[in-house]
Amino acid sequence: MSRELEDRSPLLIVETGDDLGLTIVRSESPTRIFLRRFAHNKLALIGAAIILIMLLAALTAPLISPYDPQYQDYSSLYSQPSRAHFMGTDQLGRDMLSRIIFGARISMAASVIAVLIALIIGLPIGLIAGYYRGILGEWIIMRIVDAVQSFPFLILALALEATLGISFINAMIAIGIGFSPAFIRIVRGEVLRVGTQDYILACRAIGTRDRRIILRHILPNSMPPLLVLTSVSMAGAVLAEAGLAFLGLGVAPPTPSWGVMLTDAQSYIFLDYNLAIWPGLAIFLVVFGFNVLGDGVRDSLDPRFSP
Amino acid sequence: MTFLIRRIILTIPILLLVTIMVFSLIHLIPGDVATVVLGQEATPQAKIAMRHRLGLDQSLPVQYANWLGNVLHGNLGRSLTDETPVSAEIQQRLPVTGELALASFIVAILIAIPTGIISAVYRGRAVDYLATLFAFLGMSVPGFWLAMLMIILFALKLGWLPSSGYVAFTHDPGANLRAMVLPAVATGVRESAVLMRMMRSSLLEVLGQDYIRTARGKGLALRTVVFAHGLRNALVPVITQSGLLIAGLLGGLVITETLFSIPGFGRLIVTAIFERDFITVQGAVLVSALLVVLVNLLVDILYGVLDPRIRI
Repeated sequence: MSRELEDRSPLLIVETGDDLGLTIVRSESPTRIFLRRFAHNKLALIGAAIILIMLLAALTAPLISPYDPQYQDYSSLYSQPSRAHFMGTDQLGRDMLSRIIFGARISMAASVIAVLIALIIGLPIGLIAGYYRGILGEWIIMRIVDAVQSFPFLILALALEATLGISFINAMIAIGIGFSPAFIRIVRGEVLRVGTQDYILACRAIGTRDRRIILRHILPNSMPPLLVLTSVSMAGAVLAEAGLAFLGLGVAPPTPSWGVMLTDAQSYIFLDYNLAIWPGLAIFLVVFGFNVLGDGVRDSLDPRFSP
Repeated sequence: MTFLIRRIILTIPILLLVTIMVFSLIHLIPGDVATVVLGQEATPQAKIAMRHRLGLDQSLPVQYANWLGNVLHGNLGRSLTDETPVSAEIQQRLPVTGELALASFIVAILIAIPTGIISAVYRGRAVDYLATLFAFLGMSVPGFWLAMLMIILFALKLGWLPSSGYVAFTHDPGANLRAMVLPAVATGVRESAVLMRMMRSSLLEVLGQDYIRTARGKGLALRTVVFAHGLRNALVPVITQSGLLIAGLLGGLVITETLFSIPGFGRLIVTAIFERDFITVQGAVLVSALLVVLVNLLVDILYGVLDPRIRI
């Protein structure tokens, strides 16, 4: 009961000052409402914890790895998980745990870089498409977005990498371009929604310049859905990078990467199942983390979406 | 009728832009295309011949017009590696991918529809949370990892199913279906998670309507109301939106086909990329986009047929 009350609490918190008998009324800030809701969402907290741990692992990889991820110990090939090698060793006798920890660097970098590229493309174009409707916005930009979205995402990424050349950074560019239509659509939709509200009309009436309206009023008010899309896209970027690396279109071996580790695992699947377990589990955890994080953010921002 | 015509006219600029993008692919290649295709050590004569063959010695508009003209005649050029017509190669591979896509889709529906219904009817209860958790797991698991785990369990440990390979249905239907099970499940699980969420929210929306309350109020059993009144209306958006999964499915199958050594459309693209066979890549990418545009068009038309409110 009390939980229910709290969830539906009004925007006002009433505090009674006991010494004077005064009643002080202050409104709860949107950020506090968001944080309070988010703190109640167990799944989202688990997601945040997973991402935080993976981020820490990526940043401190050389410090916390028990072995050099490239060191090949030919006396212990395909060793099963043990006290010396917590996740066992691979076909070249390299420590799996160390390679998983270093692999976090590639995956976390992929999530950030690919989504950043999508944002750099999507944000300005979305703002322009929403603010300057008419021929440019409706006809040129949105039809191009439609066309880009006609390509199956992974096939578009493959095609772009085929032309630009196979490398990690080109894979990021390909994924970023593939994600950008979703960002353009969300930003444009928000501009259309926010742009018709009274305070924007008021700004126009007092002669505020377009640039200032876009940057100071429209952009901050479009943040919530953009935040959700960012989190979910990070999940997609990790999955896509791993997929491209698995096909041989991502980072080049011997750099430790979860996708490449799964390619090795597939080659030696008849010899050792252990190789296949850990990299996949790592990808799965990060993607799961970003997905539930995004969903938690959505629920906390808008109570209508709560189950 | 006007709805139909308007919808078809709207696809024309998209198709035009798609062809321009696919055509541009070969011009995005950094450096000299002929050198990239033939390698550094190729003779100048060979490079000139290759440039001529790719039409690169003509102006851009002429190149595009020639290329588009060929495409409209169903001619996607000849493979740079073995000189076979790209369209023939694609024609041979599409049915394989089509069967796999259909099988994955059936798997997705078989999982998603019942789970989505249960989840919506028992909203907020333990089963609902379990179903939601399943949806998150399904959306997060890398399809190729799930495939590898299933290969380990069902092919290597239990020996029930083949670990890879493909047999044509016309050649041996039983073997064909057995080879399809693992790839279809591995690809279908992810789509099922998306579809389940759609089913749940669509049914929830319908169950909140007045006529459902009326039906319950006149004493009909929950089961009757859900299946006879609710589901019928809730399925319309799900059926149409599920058509939009085709793009994700086509992309996902690229990895699945590579993993299971299935000679489909996706594997054609991957092989062509590694062989620097840009003509095949170009043709295959174009066909994949055309398929998505076509399915989206059909889905929109179907939506208009099923729900007259859309026809405006």
